[in-house]
Amino acid sequence: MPLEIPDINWSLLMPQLVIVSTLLIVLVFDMFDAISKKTLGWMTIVGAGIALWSSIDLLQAGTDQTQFNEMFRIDSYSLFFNIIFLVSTILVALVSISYLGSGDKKQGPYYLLILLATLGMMLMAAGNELIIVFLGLELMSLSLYVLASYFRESPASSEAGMKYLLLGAFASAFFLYGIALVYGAAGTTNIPEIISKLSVGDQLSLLSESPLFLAGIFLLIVGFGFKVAIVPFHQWAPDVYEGAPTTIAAFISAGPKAAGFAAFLTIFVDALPKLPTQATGVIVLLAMLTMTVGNVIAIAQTNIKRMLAYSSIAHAGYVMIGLAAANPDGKSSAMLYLFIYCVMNIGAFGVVIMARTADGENLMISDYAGLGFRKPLLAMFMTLMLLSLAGFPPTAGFVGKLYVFKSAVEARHYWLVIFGAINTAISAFYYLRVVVTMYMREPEEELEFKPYPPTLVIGLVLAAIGILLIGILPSLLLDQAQSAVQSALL
Amino acid sequence: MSPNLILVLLISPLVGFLINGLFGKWLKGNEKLSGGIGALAVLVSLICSISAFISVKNGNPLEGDAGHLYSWIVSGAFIAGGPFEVNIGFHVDALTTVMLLVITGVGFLIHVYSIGYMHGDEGYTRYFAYLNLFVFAMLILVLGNNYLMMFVGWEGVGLCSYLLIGFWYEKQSATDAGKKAFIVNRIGDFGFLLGMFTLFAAFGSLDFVSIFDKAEAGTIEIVFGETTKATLMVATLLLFVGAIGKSAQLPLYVWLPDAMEGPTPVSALIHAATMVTAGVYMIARSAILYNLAETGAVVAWIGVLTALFAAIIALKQNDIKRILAYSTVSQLGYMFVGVGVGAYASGIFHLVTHAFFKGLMFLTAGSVMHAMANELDIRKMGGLRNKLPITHATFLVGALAIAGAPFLSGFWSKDEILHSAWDSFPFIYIIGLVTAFLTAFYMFRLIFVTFYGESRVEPEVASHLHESPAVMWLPLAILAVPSALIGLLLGVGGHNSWFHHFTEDVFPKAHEASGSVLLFMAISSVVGIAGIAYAWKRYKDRAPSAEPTNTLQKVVANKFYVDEVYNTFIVQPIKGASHFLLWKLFDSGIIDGIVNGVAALIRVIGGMLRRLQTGIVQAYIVSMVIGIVLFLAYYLFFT
Repeated sequence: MPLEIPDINWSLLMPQLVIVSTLLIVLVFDMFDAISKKTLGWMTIVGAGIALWSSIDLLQAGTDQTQFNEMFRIDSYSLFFNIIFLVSTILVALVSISYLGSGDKKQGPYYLLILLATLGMMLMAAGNELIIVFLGLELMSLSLYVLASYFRESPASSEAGMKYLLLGAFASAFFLYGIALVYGAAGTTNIPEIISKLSVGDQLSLLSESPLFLAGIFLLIVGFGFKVAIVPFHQWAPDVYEGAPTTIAAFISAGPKAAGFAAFLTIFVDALPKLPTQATGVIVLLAMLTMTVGNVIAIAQTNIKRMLAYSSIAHAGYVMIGLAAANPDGKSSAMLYLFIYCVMNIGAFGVVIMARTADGENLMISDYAGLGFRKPLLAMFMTLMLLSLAGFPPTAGFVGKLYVFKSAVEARHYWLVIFGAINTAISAFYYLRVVVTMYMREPEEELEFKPYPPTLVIGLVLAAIGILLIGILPSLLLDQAQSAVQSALL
Repeated sequence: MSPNLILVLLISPLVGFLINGLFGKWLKGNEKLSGGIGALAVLVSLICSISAFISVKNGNPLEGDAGHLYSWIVSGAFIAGGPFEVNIGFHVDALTTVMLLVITGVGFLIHVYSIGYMHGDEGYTRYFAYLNLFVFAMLILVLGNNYLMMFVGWEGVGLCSYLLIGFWYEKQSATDAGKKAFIVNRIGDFGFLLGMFTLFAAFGSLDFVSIFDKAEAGTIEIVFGETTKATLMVATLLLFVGAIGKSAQLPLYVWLPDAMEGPTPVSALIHAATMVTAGVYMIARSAILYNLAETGAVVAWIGVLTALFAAIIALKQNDIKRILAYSTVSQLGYMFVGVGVGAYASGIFHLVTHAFFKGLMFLTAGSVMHAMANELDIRKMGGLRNKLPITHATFLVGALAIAGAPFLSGFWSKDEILHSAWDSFPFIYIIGLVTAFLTAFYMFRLIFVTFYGESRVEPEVASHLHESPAVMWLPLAILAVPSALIGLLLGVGGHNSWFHHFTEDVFPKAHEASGSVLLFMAISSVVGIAGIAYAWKRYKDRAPSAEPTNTLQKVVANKFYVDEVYNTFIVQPIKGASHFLLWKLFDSGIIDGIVNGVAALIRVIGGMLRRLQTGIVQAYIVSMVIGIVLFLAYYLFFT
């Protein structure tokens, strides 16, 4: 068989190519000691910025094509997710520059791995093919394992990386096994083909009831469930977030979760209506379980990083509501939610970094007592992020929740929405508790805070503006998400 | 008129708030800069308001689709009438521009005055931040093209009012007054919310234009009762409950006199000129609904009773700001009479004139306090006119205006309201006339006791008596001009006056009041002058007696014991009930029981989960596998 080289339109691959070039440049420049370590961070930001700009450019041009023999999709859906990933990467890099400091720690690999993980996420969102999705997943995960244990001298960090690796490998095995079973049943790994094979005309096909296929689909749910940390596959998350460097906890909680959902949504929003109803039942059940367990355990936390970890588990549950709705609105609202979630969550972790003192990080919620008046800027950022996480108008978090709930109402999942609403109320308790601690409690001891690094403040200001802007003008983003879903339908 | 103009108008005070709010630390040392930024922000709004006013005057308002900015939330078809949209947009017509000019015009002067008045205060930048935020919220209230935006502004001004009443939060009385205002307003706001819900259920929208169009066309879902009218009655009365709270009418007026704990310029701006008139604005805006529901009579009666009641209380007060506060409550009552009897333009006209003369009087009161080292008791004043000539002159202008002295602004607007009331509500007319007499009397009692007669100022204070600096007296002088003349400029000719022509497109046509305009004017003048004369006879050279002499006086001096009655019959029972029922029984017993139970449960579960969340990876894998097996079982076998 002669080898066919597919026609490749390189200009469509600009975002990915820019990221690859940036990571190569970072790799090379890291070898020169004369280069300030901070420069590498700025390179990352510039590279991600260019990739972001070209993604937006492609999105506005209405690009809708596949590449590499239909394995790779460049359409408004994948481009929208590119924007989420790249915005997260830029914010995390901004927060990281001061966090890593100008010490002698090697910083080249840090940014290199962040860029590699970003590339993996972009592959996952663009994958039109289970194999590509798996490739992206592994590229992303392997980078994250290393990043989680980046502070090698810290036992907690090493432990976090180790755990993440072992459990991640376990989940990857399930995922791969799922792909194998699906391939065995459907005869293809191309996602649109699999979905089209589920129905013949208006009728569901035999494939949709084949146990082999269903088992494969279920294992895919497990694999994704692990990556996006839904209950009961969530246990790695609190340990990893707590042990990993705070910037990496922010990173892991944002982009990779969005990437997992990108692929999750691609497959399941279209497939669920064609699968037996208990498949939807499983998703609904997982969503309820995830929200409830995440929020209830978050109440009991005294460590703010662990609290944010459980909160991020709960937020995955809210996104699952959009997934369970399995309609175009559900898909677009989940996309909107993921964007908002990434910005506000990175923002919240950013404030945790901001609250560092000379002795290290202040991770206990009680350390935040009295900051409302002593550190008004910090407290204001924290309040804004927490209000948004809790879903108060006029922040973005409100808009995100509203549309997710709305899509589920339209799909008649009333119980799911009621669960979501109750959970929102529960979550308000532990988010607002931090606000109350900041403004209404007296500190037990005076803490000497480090001066705020400018890059961190820039990152937080950007996140704050984003949250308020989307909260006041949601159509900026929602229209993009909706048209991305609409164009996929046509 | 482009929406961009309105955006600049709206955003400018917000920018001022952000600058003073975020960079207060750096501005603290520089009062001029901080206050200057605050005043400048409002000045920009004032200029935009004038420009908007000219546009509207040239027949170019911003209404309907033109004012639509964007849809905040678009929701699915939950309701019969199509998708639910929450729109953000502006509605700028004659009524709006009148409000804009009052808010930014009076607001600007008060900002300038505050630069001097707040000199040396600890919270100088905080003060200007709040004041700018207030102007921003008030602008949202009047600019919005739907009830939701109005509500956002409504709550925003309530928050700022709370913050500014309790501005000197080290003072127990100030924080108490702030809380009182906030809580009493909650009652009203709850009514407003319910009213909004009713409107939404009846019309499927909250936009002014679509509600008013549907109301006129009669396409209303019946939510309450049998008829569309019943539904509208419920909606308008609930909205009026909101107005009663915000505009301090019977029985919710009690917060306003206490609100005088805030800085005096705040009393002038928020608790006289602008925020408290929001209820009047809301009813005028909803004129079509009130006309259809025919609930105006309720509004008018509450208004006139409040006017009388507050005027009686004002007779026996000795605190200069409290007299003005009760006078505000009383004058707001007149405005409600105006909008209640269907003379919307007259009610709004009185709102405008009142904003000028009452704002002026509060500022002069501030000037007196400034000179007297914050003394408020008029019995300790007297003979101040020689020491504070400008303050005296400007106060006199304000007092003459409110007393209805011929040809000053209050004369025209009050007369119009009374005249309009005469036809359908002769009793309201008579009560209004009595109130007018009382108003002239208590206001000139205040003047004569404060500025005339023998000086009763304590010697220590007397040595420091001085006229206020220019930054303070200049706004007084400027405000005195419209207080005196605005009626002559805009109000001459009753229903054919300039003001009525300007606003005629906004309001449903009021019926022409019958009877000779001149006769009514003559009666009003006589009543006003009689009040002044009687005050002169009684107080030209003596202070009010220290103790009330008979029971009636005692009752009045104690404000009819309303606060005490509320305290005994509402506050204490609620506190008691909340203590025993809610706290001891419900909270401690049930809620804490649940919470403790849940906590105990969580501890138990946590104990079990901790065994899972050991940090041991093998255990995690085991729990994952269990999860997988359980879900797989459900997934494959439960069909």
